[in-house]
Amino acid sequence: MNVRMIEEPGCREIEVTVRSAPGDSRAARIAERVRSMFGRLVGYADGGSIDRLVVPLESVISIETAEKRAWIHTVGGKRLESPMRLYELEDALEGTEFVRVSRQALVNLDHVMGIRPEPNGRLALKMGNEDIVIVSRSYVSDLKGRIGITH
Amino acid sequence: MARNREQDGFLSGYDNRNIGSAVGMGLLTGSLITVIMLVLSIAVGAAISGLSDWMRYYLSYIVAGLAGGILQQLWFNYHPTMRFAYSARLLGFGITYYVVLAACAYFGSWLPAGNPWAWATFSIIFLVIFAAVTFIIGVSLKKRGIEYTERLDEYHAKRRGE
Repeated sequence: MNVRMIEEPGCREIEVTVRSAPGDSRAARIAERVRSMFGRLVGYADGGSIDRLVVPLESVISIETAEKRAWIHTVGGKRLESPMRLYELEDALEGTEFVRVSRQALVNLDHVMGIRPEPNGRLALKMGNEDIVIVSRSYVSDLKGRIGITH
Repeated sequence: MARNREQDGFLSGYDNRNIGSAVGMGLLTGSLITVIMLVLSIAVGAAISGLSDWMRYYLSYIVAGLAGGILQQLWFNYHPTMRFAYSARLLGFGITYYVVLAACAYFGSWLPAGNPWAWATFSIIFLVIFAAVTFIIGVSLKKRGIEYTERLDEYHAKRRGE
């Protein structure tokens, strides 16, 4: 793989071109990573569609795994299938408002409307789409640290 | 880089890394095997000589145990019920488990059949304890919930630059 940086005076936007042989899945993953750095995720509509949809991060409520796939839940009730796995999305979304809350889910803290403590050291998050997401014990301290809950 | 945490966890199915988790997994699977063996032995005994009092007694305890586990999962770990407050779920668990326990107590002759006071005492003690536990836990969780929501609101306000 060759990586080249070209600096052009007068260039107003960063443009990233990923060039590869047809069907190279690594190239697709690299493109996804770069897109997420610019605040966007790509998904495919539920039902096996090949139409690719690009969604801004601020409209993503949560990302969950089900049926061995990662599903992006957006404002407006859409569910999109991500070409990336959950741990790849977690890496790509590091430094954003997304936080891992269990082995199956990432949530966008901007869409967390309420927090409720549960026994056994868990938390229940009320999301903007009225869904309840449970924070597993092993992820509670990370989440509390992000929000500023000290005990 | 984030760890692939899918590989972590007591019940993840991967090699147990310490003796505690290995023994714990053993206890869990051993308990399941024990229950299966007990049920099978009671079934065989009942097929041979009918359902005796001791068989009903042990079967009622097995049912009470299994039902407790299932109801616990349904009320506290099943997604559709998670939208209710914990105290409501605890109350729901208490009422449904009371019905099961009463049925098991009757079937297994835990209490003297012709003594309504024994039944009344059993019911009152169970329900009073449950109501007290529900109230205490509910108050504690509500207090913490208010504090957590305040921290969340502050976090959102800071994000908005207020």
